[in-house]
Amino acid sequence: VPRSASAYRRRKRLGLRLAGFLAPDDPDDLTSEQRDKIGEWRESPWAFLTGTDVRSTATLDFPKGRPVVWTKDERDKKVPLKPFPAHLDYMRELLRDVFEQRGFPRERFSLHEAAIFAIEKTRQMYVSTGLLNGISWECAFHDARQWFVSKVTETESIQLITDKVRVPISHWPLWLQRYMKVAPRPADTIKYRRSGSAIRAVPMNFALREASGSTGDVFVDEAPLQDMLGSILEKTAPMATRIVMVGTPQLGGPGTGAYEFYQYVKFAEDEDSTEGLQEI
Amino acid sequence: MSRAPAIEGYSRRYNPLKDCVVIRVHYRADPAKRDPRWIAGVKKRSPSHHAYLREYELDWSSPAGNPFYDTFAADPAKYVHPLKQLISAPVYRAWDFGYRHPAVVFFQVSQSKRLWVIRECMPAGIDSHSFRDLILYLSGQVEYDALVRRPRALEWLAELGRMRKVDETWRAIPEPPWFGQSTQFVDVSGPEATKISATVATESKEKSDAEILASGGINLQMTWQRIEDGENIIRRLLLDAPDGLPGMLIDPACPLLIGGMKGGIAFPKPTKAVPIPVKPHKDGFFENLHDCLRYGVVASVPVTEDGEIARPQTVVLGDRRIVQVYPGQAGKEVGFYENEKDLWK
Repeated sequence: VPRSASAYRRRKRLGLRLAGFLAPDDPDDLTSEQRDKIGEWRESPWAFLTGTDVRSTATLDFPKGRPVVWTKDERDKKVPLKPFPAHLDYMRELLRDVFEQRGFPRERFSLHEAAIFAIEKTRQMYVSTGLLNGISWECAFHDARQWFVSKVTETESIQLITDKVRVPISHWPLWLQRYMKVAPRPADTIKYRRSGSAIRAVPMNFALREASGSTGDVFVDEAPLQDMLGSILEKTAPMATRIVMVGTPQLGGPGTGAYEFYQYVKFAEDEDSTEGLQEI
Repeated sequence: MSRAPAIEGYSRRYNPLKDCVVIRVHYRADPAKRDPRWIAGVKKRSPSHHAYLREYELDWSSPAGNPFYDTFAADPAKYVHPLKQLISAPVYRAWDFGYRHPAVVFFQVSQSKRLWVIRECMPAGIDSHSFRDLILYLSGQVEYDALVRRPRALEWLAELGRMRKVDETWRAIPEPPWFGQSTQFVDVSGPEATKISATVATESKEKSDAEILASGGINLQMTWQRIEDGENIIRRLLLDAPDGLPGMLIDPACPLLIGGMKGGIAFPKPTKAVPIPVKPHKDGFFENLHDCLRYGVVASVPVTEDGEIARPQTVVLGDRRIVQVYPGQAGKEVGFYENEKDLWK
């Protein structure tokens, strides 16, 4: 046992250095199976979020092996951590729509126009958690991505990315955590050092100060509660390639901005169409 | 474009005009939540039926928070009645100005002082000249050709046409123009538009809006009651009249005003500075229609039920004291006293 605090710190530093030396944080140090898994997971968010770890032991609960992504369920006291729900078909569709832009016609794609997704959802549908983990997948497996995650206040948005993104990352297999080099600090930004991507937690007024300099995609959680939804759309649309708004209907108070927006997009249709919005 | 396999409770619609995808995730998308027992549990736990409709059935017309007109929100169907034909009385047009959401509410007042709200118009991002001409066209006072130089007015009319095609709620709005050429109109607005300011600092943009209206033949009337009375009058009109119907009825052709009265016009969240809010939330949307309605009622309906307003009369007594006396209070002095001793007489 070290006799003094300074000796303890010295030994701890040495230990960390040795641990860093031994840790396989170089891609070449991955086994071929791990490399295959990474290649497989890069293909789609669904493949990653419902994937299983290499050589993991099959159990009665997980016959295919240990799931890679675990999320927090605050309502369940007995089993607060659960694997990503692979049985939800709508979640697979949602992730495909948003991250592969399947909802849009192919010829539409343009770097200069933001694709807006207005998602209205029932409560407790796992939509925010699913999409935030999709964002985490995109940042981990794709280079130079930047996502802004907006809630009413910065504290709320930091709490959101901590619960929905950092917690699942902390349950990734250790080798994957080391490989992706996700920085534990600062609290408001999750940096994926290997890909150079980042998720930034921002308050709802971020568009007024950030958009002029920063480019990135935007995730607006509980959009109908954000008074400044109009400003977010207006300011970020020229900068973002995707704006994803999620929310449960609200009428009155701050929800009026979202009400107006949903009315606006709901009723608009192609001049030639007589059936309103098109199902794709 | 490939069609994705249908999943119950999950729908995706692309809006090519706005380049936006609207995705709807209903609880039925999750097989575990299709169980009637789950739905029953959710209904039981929801604080109100409105909350259940809003949060689980994705109903955008159920209010969140506290509706400003809770009487209306409690039973909206009671107040929504189609007006089959116009009353033989002028049609009031209550105006609220602004570039983002100018608004006009059309209404009539019957002999029994019942307010019939007939139509509404609230375009977005439109200049005052175009808005004026749009309202004149909707009122049947100018021909469609008069809008040729007003592209924003034409856009709104086109949008109205689209809304009427795709949504049942908006189908209740008839094809414009809404009124015949013989209809008489009375135009009212807030005091900003008509009052003359003593200083530049207190001048308002609404004053020039009123001049723009005047150049098109629309002369705004002065209101004869305080605008603050509007809320009281509306609350009184929401009460039942002797014939059993409420004092205010709204035609289904006013979907936005109905949405506002149902809860779109709401109290703001309490803050430290204002722990018990008494004024509605300034949302930049419903508030404009609300203002129109307030301006309209103060110009057309008395604040008291019988229409009589007790106003104090100033009387100069023989000893040159100035006092204020209410009618029916003969001999009782109310108001200003010359000195403190008078208070104890």
